[in-house]
Amino acid sequence: MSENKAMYVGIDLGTSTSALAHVRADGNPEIVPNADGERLTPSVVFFDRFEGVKLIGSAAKDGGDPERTVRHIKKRMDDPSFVVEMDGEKWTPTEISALILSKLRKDCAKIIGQIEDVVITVPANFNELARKATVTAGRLAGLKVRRIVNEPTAAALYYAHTQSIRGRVLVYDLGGGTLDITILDIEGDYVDILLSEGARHLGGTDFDEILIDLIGQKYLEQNGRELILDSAQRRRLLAMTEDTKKRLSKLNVVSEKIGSEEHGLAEVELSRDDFEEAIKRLLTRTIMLLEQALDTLGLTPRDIDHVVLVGGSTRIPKVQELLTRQFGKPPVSCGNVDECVALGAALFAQRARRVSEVCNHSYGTLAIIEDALTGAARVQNSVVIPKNTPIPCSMSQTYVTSENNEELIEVEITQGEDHDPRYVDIVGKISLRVPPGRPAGCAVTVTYSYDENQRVRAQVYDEESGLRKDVDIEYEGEGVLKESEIERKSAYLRQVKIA
Amino acid sequence: MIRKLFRWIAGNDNRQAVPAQVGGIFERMSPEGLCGISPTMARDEIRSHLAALYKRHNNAAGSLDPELRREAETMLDAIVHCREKYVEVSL
Repeated sequence: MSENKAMYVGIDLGTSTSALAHVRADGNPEIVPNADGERLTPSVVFFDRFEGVKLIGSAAKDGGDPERTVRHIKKRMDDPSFVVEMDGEKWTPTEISALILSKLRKDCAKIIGQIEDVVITVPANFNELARKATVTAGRLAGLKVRRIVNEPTAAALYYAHTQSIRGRVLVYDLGGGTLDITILDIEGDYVDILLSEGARHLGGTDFDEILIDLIGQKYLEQNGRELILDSAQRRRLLAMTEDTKKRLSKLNVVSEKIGSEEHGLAEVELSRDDFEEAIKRLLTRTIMLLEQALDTLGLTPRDIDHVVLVGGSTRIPKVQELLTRQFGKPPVSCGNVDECVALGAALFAQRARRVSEVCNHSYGTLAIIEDALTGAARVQNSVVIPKNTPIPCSMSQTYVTSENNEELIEVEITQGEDHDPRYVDIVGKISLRVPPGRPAGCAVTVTYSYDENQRVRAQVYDEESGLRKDVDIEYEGEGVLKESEIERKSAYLRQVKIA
Repeated sequence: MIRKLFRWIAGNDNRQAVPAQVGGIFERMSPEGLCGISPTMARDEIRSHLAALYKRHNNAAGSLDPELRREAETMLDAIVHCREKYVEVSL
């Protein structure tokens, strides 16, 4: 084992697979294989019943009881109530992600030396909760997470590094769990992000679910029997479906021998046309997001110089065909679409200063907005920092109290750009006690700061009294680890046997 | 024309006052009904209306509120249905 300390390490903690890369002495990034000799580690955890070992990666994916196997945990990182129960023990998505990161850290350290400081990538549309959970997962795994970077940004950095290009680039990142569309300008090694838009639950795993249903339907048509009788059977089919999907990207027709314990094996024939028809509604969503991204910047497809593909699901021929039709030219691949995010993350660890990013969500507060003409008033989401503002940034908005004798000013912190409060999340609250006996109309300034790690801090300032209060945003829920739990959990995870 | 008045919303979150739209209504209404598409609307009008709805519900699909996420998924399916039927000839 090397005694050196690894420099410039980037980790792609993916929905389907994860990867670790570092920047070599010659300035080029490379993927570091895991102890199983694989460049990509399946993001799958198997909870062994007999020895208490947690298998991570291919060993977890390829065998074992599906009931004891956890896949796609990244899709739950933004769910504050989600936990996995195994043998009477509850595991948050953060802890399960920490197991995957621990495997990468331990395995790759044998090749490149001790790994401490890292950059971890997240989907551009990850909310504050999921970003925070990712940083915590890193801490639990014994890593110092120096920066969080958006996956398309990392991919664009890698693309800029490997191709001598300049101009306006659209990164189309269709991964295992999400679609991110990022528009940016590249000038040499410098990357200037203009916009990121994302769609949750729109990726390869969603295509897999549709494909399972399609296979079940074909099985019924061809054999007169139901294939999928319960959720356990569905989970068992999931691994096979992923391979079927990959073959359908290369072949027009595939056949699978599948079956159930009740009905035995039978052959099912599937065509690429069947698959593409089945996923059409998800592909339409991708096009609508694409149009939204261009509209937001007032661009047309002609304004885009390069369309860059990232993520395993961009191998689906229909995806490439749609983009070609949309932009009038074929998209280009960012090298290996599965590896470029980790490679770009390693580059980002080295040269973050050459990348200008934007905030990924709008932040604001609930306020009464009154029409000065009609007098009609209603509570709306008042945005203080709009989405896609260059970061780091700090922005303020001044309001006035509307009632006499208000002694407690309570600011609801919202995440979301919709003016209708129903469609935004309230992610925190600041309560500021002010002196009694004041009339309505006292000025109160709300300031939000958005740092380079896309973390938000809010402050409320009462101008008359000079009182102020500021907070970091905290989340609560069974699936969210409290600060006080992190050290204890970290110590516990260090004792867990990982293979 | 708009000025902001600021009354902090202690215990006065009007999100509670909005009637829940998930469940029964979503199951009973047609995609056109959910999206507010009428036969008299022009293609471009439908397109921009659906784009605005898509933006709202795509954002809501990432909400911390599971009920809102479910509603958003139903709406996104309805939006895509209308888009394919009234705007897009074929993928």
